[in-house]
Parts: sequence; C-alpha cells; structure tokens
Amino acid sequence: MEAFRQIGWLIHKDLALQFRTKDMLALIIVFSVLVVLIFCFAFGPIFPEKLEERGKLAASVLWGTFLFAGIITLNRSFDIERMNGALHGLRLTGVDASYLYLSKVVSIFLFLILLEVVVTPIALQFLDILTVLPVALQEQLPWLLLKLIGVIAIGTLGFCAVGVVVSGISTNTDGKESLLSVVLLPLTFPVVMAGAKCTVSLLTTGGLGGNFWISVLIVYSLVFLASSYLLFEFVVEG
Amino acid sequence: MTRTQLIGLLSAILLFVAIYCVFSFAEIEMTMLEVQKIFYFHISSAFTLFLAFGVTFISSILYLIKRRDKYDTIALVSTEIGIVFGVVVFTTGPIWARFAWNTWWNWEPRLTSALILWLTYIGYLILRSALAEEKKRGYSAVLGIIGFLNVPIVYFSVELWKGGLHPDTSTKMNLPPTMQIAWLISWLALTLLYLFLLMFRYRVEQMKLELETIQHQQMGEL
Repeated sequence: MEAFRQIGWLIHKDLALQFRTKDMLALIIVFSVLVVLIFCFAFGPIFPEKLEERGKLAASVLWGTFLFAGIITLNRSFDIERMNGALHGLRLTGVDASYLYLSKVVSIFLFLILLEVVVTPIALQFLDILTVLPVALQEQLPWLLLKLIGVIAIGTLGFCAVGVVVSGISTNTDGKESLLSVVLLPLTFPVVMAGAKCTVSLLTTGGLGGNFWISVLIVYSLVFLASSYLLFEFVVEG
Repeated sequence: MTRTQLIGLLSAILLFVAIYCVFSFAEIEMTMLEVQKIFYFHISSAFTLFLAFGVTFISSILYLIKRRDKYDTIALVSTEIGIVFGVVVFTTGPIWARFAWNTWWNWEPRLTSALILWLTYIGYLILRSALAEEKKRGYSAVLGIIGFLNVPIVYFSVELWKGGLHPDTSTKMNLPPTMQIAWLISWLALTLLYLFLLMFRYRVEQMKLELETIQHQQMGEL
C-alpha cells in the first residue's frame, strides 16, 4: 500500500507541474495541430478517394504527430527534474527508483492521452475521413473513436515505457536533449508500425479482427515496461 | 607473437582463402551469375553485425552486474565494429537486391531489423559521446541492453508487415557443396576479423586509459 501511496504522490506532483500553468498543454496541442496541418498541406487539399488510402494517410498523420509531441513532452518532463537537482532531491527522500519510473510513465502517459483525445478528432476532421467512411461506421462513430483512442493508448504506453528511460539518460547530456530523438526513434519503430496498422484496420473495417498488430503493440509495451522498470535504477544512479 | 597478432594473421590468411574460394572454387550461380558472389560477404557481414551487437548486449549486462570497466570497453568497441560491418551489409545488400529482386531496397525482415539495430547503435555512440565521463558507462550499458531487446520485436513486426511473402533469402541451406564451403570460410574469416579488431581496439582503449592515468598523475605532481 505504501508503494501505491508514494507512486500516487509522485504522479500528483508530475501532473501538478505539467498543468500548473497550462502552458505546456497549450503548447503541445498547438504544436500537434500544426504538424497535422503541415501533413494536410502536403497531401491535400484533395485526399485519396479510396477508404484504405485515406485510412493509411490518417494513420501516418496521427502517429507521426504523436511521436513528435511525445518526444517534446518527454524532454520537458525531465528538464523539470534536472533543474536545481530536483531528481537528486527526490532520491534523497528515499523514494525507490522503480516508483519514480512508474510515476513518470503514468504521468507522461496521462498527459499524452489528453493530447491525443483532443487532437485525434481534429486530425480526422482535417483529413475529411467522414466522407469516405461507410455508413455503418459513420453510425458508430463515437464507438470507433473510442476504439481508436484505445489503440493509441496502448502504443503511447509502450512509447512512454521506453521513452522515460532514454529521456532520463539524454537529459544528462548538457543541453543536447535533441539526442533523445536519435536514440528513441529507432527504438519506437515497432510501436509506430503496429499502431499505424491497427489504426488503418479500425478506420477501414471498424475492428481489429484477425489483426496481429494489436498483439505486437501489447507485447512491445509489456516487454519495454518490464525491462525499463528493471533498468531505470541504473539510470537514476548513473 | 601476441594472441591478437596471431588472430589478425589467421584472419588475413582466411580472408585470402575466402576470396580465392568465392571467385575460383565456388561454382557460378546460374540465375544471378557473378553478382551472386556478393552473397558470401553480405551474409557473413550481417552475421558478424548481429554477433557484434550481441556482444555489446551481453557486455552491457555484465557491466551492470559486475561494474567492471573492461565490460564497458568491450561493449563500446564491439558497437563500433558492428557499425563498420553494418556499412558493409548496407552497401552490398542493395547491390544484391537490385539484381535479385530488381529493386535497390527490399523491406526484407532480416535486412530491415539489421538497419534498425544499426541506427539504434549509431544513436548509442552519439549519445555516449555526449555524456559526462562519470555517467557514460552505466547509461551506455542501459542503452546497449534496450537496443538489443528491440530486435526480435522489430523482426517480427517487419515480417508481419511484409505479410509473410518476403523472398526467402536463406538459400545457404540449399547451396551446392562448393558454395557452402566458400560461404563457411568467408563467415569464419569475417568472424576472426571481428575478433581481431575487437582485441586490437580493446588494447587501444586500455592504452588510452593508461595514458590518461599517467597524465593525471603528472598533473598532480605539478
């Protein structure tokens, strides 16, 4: 119980820092919408007529945007910890490194999910996906969106699982935080691939029936959550 | 003669034998003709690349457990050599693909996973060079482990992505005996070359450390 209490407080601390000024959330939402717009300008104004082609476009726009937004969020989150040696201060309170890891994963995950809930409908609207969706899927739009957010959430969890460890390392590079993307992008390759495939399947058929990609997403998230959980102690210790 | 020199000499001899076997002993493949000769060095380099990054992975685990600098040095030099072998793989691979599948790049699972692994470890080296000396070792070990854990998932993902229809490149199983011998010798030669480079670079790193220690001592005396 003590563990849950400590993790809960750490999550509360992280979320309070993120939402205290609302600057970060506003910045990241605006950034994400801008990325979506750039994709729309590149592929639009007339988007592919075929549902599958449009689904592929939507999937690439969504996952590309969330990947960039995720990297900025991770950098920012660890920047706060690095300032004035806050992370060392936390360690001095006797908090276990694994609790720190779990709280970071959960808080960044919640922050990104909030962003995704806002940006996904906007992106789908910009890409005019409704006009090509079959009537049966249009009728179940809220349910479809919910499933889509569910898939994105699993991918985001995998991304956060590995991102927190890599970000914890890259913040120690004296102003070279941009290195995070060089290391993190190849590592998140399976997430983007599986997430995009699941998104295409959802947007074209409304389900994931017979789709192995969701298994890849889940396995990736679990493997990286477990391994990063074990390795984070070495990141905190150095 | 030291052990490193002996392995170096052995790998040099075997490389010449391998070149002879590939170009004079192994029969010419009927479909791809002489271009097929790339296969011997391409596949052997790919095997060595996986071996090198595998050694990085194991050395990184050992470093985190035992905290001995030598494991970190092995992980570092093995990564560097793996990246060099990667350059060979990604130079010969497209040439092979152009003649075998009429395209310069084929999203073949083995090739793609090797590329992702290669990029991951390039990131490892870049990040390592940016880290402070006292934190470099532990952080690099963590990255060395995470990077390699990604390989099976990437491989499985690419295979699924290709829909299981990728061209089967595991032709070594059906190779005629002359080709098999040539391939085995090439593989052995490159593995020995890797071992030689590993020992040689390890020694260089050790000497660098010794030099730094002497310089620090002299600074202290001054």
